[in-house]
Amino acid sequence: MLYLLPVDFRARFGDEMALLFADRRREAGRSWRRRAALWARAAADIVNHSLAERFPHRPRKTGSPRRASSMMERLLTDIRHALRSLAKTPGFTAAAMLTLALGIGANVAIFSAIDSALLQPLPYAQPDRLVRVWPQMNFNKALARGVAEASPALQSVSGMSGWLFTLTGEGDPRQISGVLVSWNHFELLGVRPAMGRNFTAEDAIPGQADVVILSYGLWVNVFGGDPDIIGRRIQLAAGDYQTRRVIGVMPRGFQATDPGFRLWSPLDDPGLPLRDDTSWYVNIVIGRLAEGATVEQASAQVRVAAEALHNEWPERIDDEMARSATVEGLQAYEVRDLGATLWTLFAAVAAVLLIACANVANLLLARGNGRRHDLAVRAALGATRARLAAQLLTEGTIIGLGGGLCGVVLAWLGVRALARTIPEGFDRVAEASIDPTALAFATAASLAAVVLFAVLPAWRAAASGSGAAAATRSVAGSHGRLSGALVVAEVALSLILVIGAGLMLRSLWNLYREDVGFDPHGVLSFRIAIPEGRFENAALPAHYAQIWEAIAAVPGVEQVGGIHLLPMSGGNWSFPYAAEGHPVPEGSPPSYANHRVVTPSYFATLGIPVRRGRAFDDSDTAAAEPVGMINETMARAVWPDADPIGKHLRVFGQEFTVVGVVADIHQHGVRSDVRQEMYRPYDQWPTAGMFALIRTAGDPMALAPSVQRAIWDFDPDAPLAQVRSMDEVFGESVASDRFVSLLISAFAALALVLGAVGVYGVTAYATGARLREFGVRMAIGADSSRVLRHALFDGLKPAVLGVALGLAGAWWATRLLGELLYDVSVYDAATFIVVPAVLIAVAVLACALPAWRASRLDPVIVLRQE
Amino acid sequence: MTRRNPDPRDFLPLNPLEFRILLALRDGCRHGYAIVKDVEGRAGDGEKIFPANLYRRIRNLLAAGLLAETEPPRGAVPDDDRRRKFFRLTPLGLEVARAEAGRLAELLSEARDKDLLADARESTS
Repeated sequence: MLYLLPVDFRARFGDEMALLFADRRREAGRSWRRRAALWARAAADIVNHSLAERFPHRPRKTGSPRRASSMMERLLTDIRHALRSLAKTPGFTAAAMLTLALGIGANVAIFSAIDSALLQPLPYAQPDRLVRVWPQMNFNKALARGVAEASPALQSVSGMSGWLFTLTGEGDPRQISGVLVSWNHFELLGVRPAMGRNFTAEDAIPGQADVVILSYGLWVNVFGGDPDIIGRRIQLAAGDYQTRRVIGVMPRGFQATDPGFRLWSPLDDPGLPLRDDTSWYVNIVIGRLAEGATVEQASAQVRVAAEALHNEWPERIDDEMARSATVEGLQAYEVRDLGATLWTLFAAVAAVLLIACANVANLLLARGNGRRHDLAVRAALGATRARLAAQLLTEGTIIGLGGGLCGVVLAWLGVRALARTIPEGFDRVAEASIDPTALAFATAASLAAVVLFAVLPAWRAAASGSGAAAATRSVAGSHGRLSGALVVAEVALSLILVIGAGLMLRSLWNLYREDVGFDPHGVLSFRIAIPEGRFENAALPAHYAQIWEAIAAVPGVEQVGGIHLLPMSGGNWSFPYAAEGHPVPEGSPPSYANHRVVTPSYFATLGIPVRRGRAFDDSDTAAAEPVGMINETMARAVWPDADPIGKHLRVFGQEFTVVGVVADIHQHGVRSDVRQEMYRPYDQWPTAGMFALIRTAGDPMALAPSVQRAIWDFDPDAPLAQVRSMDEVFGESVASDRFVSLLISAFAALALVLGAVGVYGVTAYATGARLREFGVRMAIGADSSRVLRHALFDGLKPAVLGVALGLAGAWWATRLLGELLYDVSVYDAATFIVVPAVLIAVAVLACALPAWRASRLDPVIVLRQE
Repeated sequence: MTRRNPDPRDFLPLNPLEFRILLALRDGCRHGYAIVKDVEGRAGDGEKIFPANLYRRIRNLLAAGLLAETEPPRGAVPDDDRRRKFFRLTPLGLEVARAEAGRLAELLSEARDKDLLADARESTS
């Protein structure tokens, strides 16, 4: 603070001033209220005198009357005056600034998040020309090529196929998420590697595609920033290659299309016609619009291409699929689910800001009215309205700016907290930083409110002009109406917010309570990423059998199961099947069901009951009769009237017998419906990577290190990844719900507190203004309980009106929440009854204190004050 | 002394706090905190004096030659206070304080003639 003072003054007296302040602090003792007041006043003292020191008054000539000073001087006087008067009422100043700071802080934080996720363009060249092609489609290479060639509105397209790569030979074996991309991928995005070279067409020739471009972070963290990395061959296994040659490193700060991707390898294209292309799916196709082309044109062309492909290959692309062909702006597509959530949050914080403004306005009104006498006297002495208004305006501006400043700090903390707790899928939010536009907006809004309500009392006081004495009494009238209206608005907004929060919490509760079909407690899970191609498929079962054995031998492990795709964690295999007794009519698409590969003990480990028939056992080996299990949903759908046990299913030409029916589980998270599912025993469908599921006696995570050691003792090259408890996996599947509920609840709590403060303030003011009346009533015989009732009624009137308006508002506003809620109606009766009751109760509490105080009055004292 | 002494009346009227600082130093030298305590104790209006305010006034008084920095009285001060600056009244300061007091007294008697102070006395009694 001392640095505000001119340097020579500081050098001369700085130490002395610090000593004096220390003495003052000692005086204030431990009471935090006195300390806060001390700090506030000392700060005002320094600001004030620094201003005076730096902008000295022109010396006044003795005898000559004080001349109308220049604008600047007058402003400085106003500022000093305002600081002094604010410092004299530290409670008021702190309350007003803090209220504003909370409103502004929350707003700026959320708006910054929205801005970075929805409004900031993607960090690529001409991002508005980037599109996502046919998002519903799982392409293969030939299909992607076919669609691109038939759509001249697309200048270029790039297929993308996410892969998990296994890196060995650089410390512990590890799994790295990367992506196979068309060779023109970076060209299409308009970025170049910082080191080395870009992919070329030659890199896409089958057999030569064993090259890789690393992300900057990967290069630094895993390869230690090795300057000779270009040209090095690394043990990076996935797909067709066990090793890859590094040809480039992306620039620092380059943002991949998916923030998880840390390396890129070319998608080779043998150029087969669609009929012969059995290549792996290309998950994503992005494109760049030709110069001048629109998303609509591209969409229409892709639709035509899809129709043509459908007519040519009806068995590969069904009618419905063809109809879903569209092109969407890349950014619009990526944030499609976020929009609703973020705008809901924004509506919530905007309401908080409004409530905060109403609250501060009320505080200022009350303060202004308290000083009516003072103002009226000054007006009578010749101060112009403008002069008085200017002074109060300065005060309001200082409060607004102070609130804004604290708000920035809160927003900064908020954005950091947001970035840390952000669930998956909100990735662009994690990049948020404080947005200057948002800050300017929120500060301007609150300044406007503060200034308006700061000046209003001055205007009125000056208007009543000469009637200075009259102004001191019976001020309850217009002030009461205005602040009452503000409280009504505050309570109504709080009610809407709290109802919103109530609905979100109920929804979250339902999500947690929902029976997911398995028991996640006490289960450890992780992925064992044996690189594809390290073993012949036939050798995998024996290798895994030994891994399961090694895990089972660890003390504390009760049961071990395995599955190739962990429930609730994304990723799916959905295959067409043909069922016995259900011939597929010519030309119509086949049925699809999820396909899972499990070890015999999988169901027992997760506690999924077998409803009919048997579970897999050790006799279901590769050599034995092919068998499978299905879930109840599939059994009902395929054989509603018959026993599915013993029936046959065919997948990709392989026929197997159904030996058991298991209970349904929520494979894709609580929110999604249960789909048809087929299970096959691992030995009959071996795959390289598996998830281990381990039921433990105690804390599952505590067992993780010893299990890891046991596996590495047996197979040092087996990378382990995604070590989590199943409780965590479940938690992550509802993380976004939890996140939104938490935020909305926090805002609602804030709104509730501010609303209660508003109700308290207005009741305290109203009863204060009627003290004389109460005194008279009590003097002529009214008992205190009657006065109490009166005062309570006074305070509750705006609250009840606010609740009524709020209910109407909530009825309309909760529709916004519709798609965020799970198993809760937006008109949930319980919420709509409980929340208003809570709000009324809070309002009663807020009124009770001033009302009770009024009822304890001694009429004699009140009347003597007159 | 050959130099002509400045006329104490040139300094009037004094700012109230500056006047009170002069009064506080009438009984001997003091440091900042002691001045504050003395002034607040006598004023009795509960108004607190904060550091920037105090030292700006002291700076003005020093510049005008009404105060001077001084060594604290030997032995009379605890070690803790050794590092503080002590101030004393200059002869000119004493003259100016007298002049200001005279000026105020004159003003007061005029006010009394107009029955202004009578009201004040009644209301405080």
